[in-house]
Amino acid sequence: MILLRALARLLGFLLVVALAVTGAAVALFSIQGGDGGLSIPGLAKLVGLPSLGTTVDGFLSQLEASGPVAVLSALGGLGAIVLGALLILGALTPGRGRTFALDDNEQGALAARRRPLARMATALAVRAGGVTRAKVRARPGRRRPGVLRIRAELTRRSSQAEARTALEQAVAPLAEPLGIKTNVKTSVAERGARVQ
Amino acid sequence: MPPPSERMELATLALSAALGVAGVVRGHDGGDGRYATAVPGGVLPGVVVAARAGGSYTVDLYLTAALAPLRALGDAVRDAVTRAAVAAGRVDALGPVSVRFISVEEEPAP
Repeated sequence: MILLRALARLLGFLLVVALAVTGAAVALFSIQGGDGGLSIPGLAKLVGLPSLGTTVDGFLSQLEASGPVAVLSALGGLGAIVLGALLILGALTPGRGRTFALDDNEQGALAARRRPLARMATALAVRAGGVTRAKVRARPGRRRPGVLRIRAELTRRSSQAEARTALEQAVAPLAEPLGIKTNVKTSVAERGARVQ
Repeated sequence: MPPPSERMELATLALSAALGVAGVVRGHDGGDGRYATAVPGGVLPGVVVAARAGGSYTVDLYLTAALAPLRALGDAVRDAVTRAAVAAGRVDALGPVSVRFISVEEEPAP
């Protein structure tokens, strides 16, 4: 979805640039009348429209008849439809945004950016017993408040299950009132790592 | 110097009330001053007040918080702004109050 959104934005930008260049060219070649110089027929000659017309005529004739060109064209048309549908999906699907919407009603909104929430959760997570290091990523949801992804390194003596519970409890005062889910993954710290 | 408008007075009142809540460190201007209100004699970082149809104003606060439960802190800020508006006789001018936490300082809240 991220790729589709990026592709839709890139194509949109390129189309706007192409439209602007075309508009500027048409405006420039509208300065003079007649068939030459800065006239519309002059522009048509410059970009080779007459020869393009001949080429398209030939292509359309082949397209009407059954044969390999017609099959290829049908496949190309189907591909274009699928690509168009995907680009529309990419353009219309809302992004995750940078903020967690915690509350929004007629009295006003309550929101927090991802980074402060993640830093706050990290500060809480490293206080959990047996944790030597913790990193939290806050990921806002499209409809729900979102999720806190906690990656923690534990001392060699720590029980993974106990540490997981301790981590969930440590960030609960932050996450629960906001309706944010937590996702905890743990690993054993390298030799020599100490509890912070 | 021209006297402050009702919008400026409301911005001053709202930011002052927010900063009085334990757990709020300061107003955050967004880094480039987009979340700020110019008032006579300076700029108020972290508050944007906009007029609404009907004569009231929306108040948007952009704050740096200490380590504190954000939901409760946000509600406390909104309550404090409402109380300050009531005390100043400006409650009729006060519309929706939005609170956004832009950054955090890791010192524990007092």
